[in-house]
Amino acid sequence: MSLAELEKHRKEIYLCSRCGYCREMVRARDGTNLVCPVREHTGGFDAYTAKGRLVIARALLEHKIKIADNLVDIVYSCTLCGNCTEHCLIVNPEAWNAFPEIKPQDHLFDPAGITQALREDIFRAGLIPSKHRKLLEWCKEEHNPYMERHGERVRWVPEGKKLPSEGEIAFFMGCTMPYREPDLCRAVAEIMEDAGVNPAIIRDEWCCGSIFLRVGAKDFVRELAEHNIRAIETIGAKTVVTHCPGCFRTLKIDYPKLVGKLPFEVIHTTEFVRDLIKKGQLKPKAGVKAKVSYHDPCHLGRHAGIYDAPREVLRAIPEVDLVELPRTRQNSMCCGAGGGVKSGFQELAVAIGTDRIKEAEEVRADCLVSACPFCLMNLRDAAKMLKSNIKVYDILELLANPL
Amino acid sequence: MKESHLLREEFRKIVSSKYVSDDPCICWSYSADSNIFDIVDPTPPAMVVRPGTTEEISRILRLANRAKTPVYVRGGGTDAGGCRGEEICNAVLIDMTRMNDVVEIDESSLTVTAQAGTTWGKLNAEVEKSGWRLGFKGPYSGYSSTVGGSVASQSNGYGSTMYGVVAEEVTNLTVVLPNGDILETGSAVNPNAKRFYRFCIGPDLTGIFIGSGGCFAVITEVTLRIYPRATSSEFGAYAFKDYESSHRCYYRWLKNRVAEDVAWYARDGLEVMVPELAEKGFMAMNTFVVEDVTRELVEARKELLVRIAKEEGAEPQDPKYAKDGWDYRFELLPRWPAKIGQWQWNCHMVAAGDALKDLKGILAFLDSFEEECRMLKVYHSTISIAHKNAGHVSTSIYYDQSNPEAVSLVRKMMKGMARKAIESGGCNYWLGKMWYPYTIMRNPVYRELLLKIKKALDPNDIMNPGGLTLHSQA
Repeated sequence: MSLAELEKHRKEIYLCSRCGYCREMVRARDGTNLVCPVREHTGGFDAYTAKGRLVIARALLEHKIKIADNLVDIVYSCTLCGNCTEHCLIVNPEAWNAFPEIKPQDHLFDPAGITQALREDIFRAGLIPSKHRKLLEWCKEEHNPYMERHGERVRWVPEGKKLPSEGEIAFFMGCTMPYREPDLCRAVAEIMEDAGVNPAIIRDEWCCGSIFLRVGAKDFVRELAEHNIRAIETIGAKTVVTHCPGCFRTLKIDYPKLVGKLPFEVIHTTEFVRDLIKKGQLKPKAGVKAKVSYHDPCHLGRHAGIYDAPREVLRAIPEVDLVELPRTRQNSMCCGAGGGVKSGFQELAVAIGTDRIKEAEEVRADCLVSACPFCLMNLRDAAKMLKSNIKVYDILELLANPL
Repeated sequence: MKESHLLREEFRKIVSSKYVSDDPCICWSYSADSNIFDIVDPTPPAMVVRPGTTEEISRILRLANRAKTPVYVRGGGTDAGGCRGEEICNAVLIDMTRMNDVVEIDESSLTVTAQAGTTWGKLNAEVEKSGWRLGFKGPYSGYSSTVGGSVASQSNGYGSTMYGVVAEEVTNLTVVLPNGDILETGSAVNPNAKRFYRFCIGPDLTGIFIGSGGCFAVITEVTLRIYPRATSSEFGAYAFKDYESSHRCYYRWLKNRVAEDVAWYARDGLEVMVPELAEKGFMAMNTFVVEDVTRELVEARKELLVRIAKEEGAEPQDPKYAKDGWDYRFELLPRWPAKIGQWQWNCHMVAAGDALKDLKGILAFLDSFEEECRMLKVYHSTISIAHKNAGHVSTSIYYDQSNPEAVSLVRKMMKGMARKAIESGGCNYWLGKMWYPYTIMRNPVYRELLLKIKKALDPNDIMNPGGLTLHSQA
């Protein structure tokens, strides 16, 4: 089996000193309290952590072991949340003077990226888990991973409502919102309308490919990227606003790596809304008298560095009492849904999500708010599983339809 | 298709199937710790078990002993010396990291008891949250290395200047013997007594298990001393134009026992760690850390240290050289592979005063080290961290792990340096394959006694067979 993608990371793999900081770290100075969410909800063997997978990666490169079924499951049980990368201390020596401040680009070593490279080799060898393969096959035909028809993507648009199909600002809706959380799509439209902005809908939008990129289907995602970029260009958009952080990261960070510089700017809704509020174009409809904790989605926070915009939006809502979770911002723990885990290992995803609900309970929050429809779904499942009183909302719900 | 391990189902009855695996991939993820020996010969165990209690370990060992199955115990997996014996490939590896609770912080006995798999990161955080602090704060990879692993491999680290190696802070241990018996040491031999005192009832049995490399028993709980949390601290860094005065200062700082941490950066160590001072023509830099419960105590200590440095002609430098290393302890060493490659240490102790009496001897040792590094074209550095009554000479080599020739050269070189360190009157405190030929193997009386202890405790030779060069069934 070819390990071409893993081979590209050989130098990094041999930098690892197996200190184990990617596996577990309790660091009082910044509130780090454990690192790998998957480890805590499996048998906890090293193989389920970046440290163990790097030892395995090295053994693969040295032809000491071969890919086996259980290794595929292990590799695909990672949420790719990037907390391991965040806590790895192999950073560019030129940045040491600013230590302990570490910028994402200072990391010379990306354990999560190495796991993704291994997935790409596994995918090319045809060993992708069957659940992911099924989604992929569906998406090739219907352009979404939710086993829904492509034509249903704009079903959320209220009857009689006409949304522009051309314009300088476009709303990239993604798949989770229109197919599973249509209220969030309506909330975006409503908030924008209140602010006097009428974003265009990309009628022929396809899945951004986030999940497929994470499970290793890079070539397929290149096709999706080329289609979506064409579709966005066709409607004349110069700015693309998206709410799903999976789409946001894929469009903003991954597409340029796959197909080159984009002919438009990509902005997350929380940044867009924050700016509208600052300019006085948008005012939250009503106050929300509640103790609110914010969960940083991995794709938005650690991967894209957006921590402040959602908090600024929450603070702009009258009466919101924003209380940080014990593990927050760069140290935030994953909700459990990312990296294809929700679709491949549902129980594991929800079990990981329960940690965040418990953290919200610990700080006596009334509700846990995120800025990601995928986190929303998984955290709601987790709250239900725990029979918790914590209510889980998306930030748009608080803005558009106050409690 | 690989056959399942003979003991797998039995172990699953003890620990639950979730925490027992003989899957080859899972076993491979445990094939290498942080040392050059495992890099060359990564070897997976036959099965991995993650117990949650001392009682579970007792039952595991009873079974393994009956079946004469080798057992290897692992903490954080950061062993830098190569403690594994040669039979790891047939062994059941006990991963201790599930046993990670801080059991009790006992203010009356001034101790903390933690399960052996507790990381130093967690232990420090919990102790400090309760208004206390540890003396020995952990080894250089302390966020993820475990308390039990440190005790079993005799680690040195932050706080050693004032408090010594980890062994000196241990008051009690709970261990499981190879036959499954659970033993409490020190004051806890009396079931009515707390775990607060080590040297009582008879010989120091606690000491037998410290530094035993997992060859005698499984350490499951460790009790350490605690101290009131420091509320004030000061840092100092002083540069010297010659070795002699830096050594005198180092020794006088050490002799007065007022600093929490003292370090000596010299020669290549200065060039690598603090190149800006080397460029200005300085030959060495000494740093100190002082912390205590009142400002007055800290000021008084600092004053003494500063006065000594001035008397020895030192030039004061930015205290950040000392402060950064202390504030971000556990975060310096793991950064180094990014700069000049994977590190391998060859640390040993020398009597603190000998560095003064025989400075030429120390420098000759370093000359030979540096010359060899130059010949082999590998990066190297030397630091000495003061250590109660000893100077801890840390000679490090940095190399490219992906280059088999470099790995082989460095491995050979480290063994050679270990020999020179021992022959020049030094002493290793840590365990590992590089040291045994020049220490345990060279003293037949000492080794024979160790072997007798091994045979008495572990007649079936199940505990890390070959570790410490010992086989009870040779």
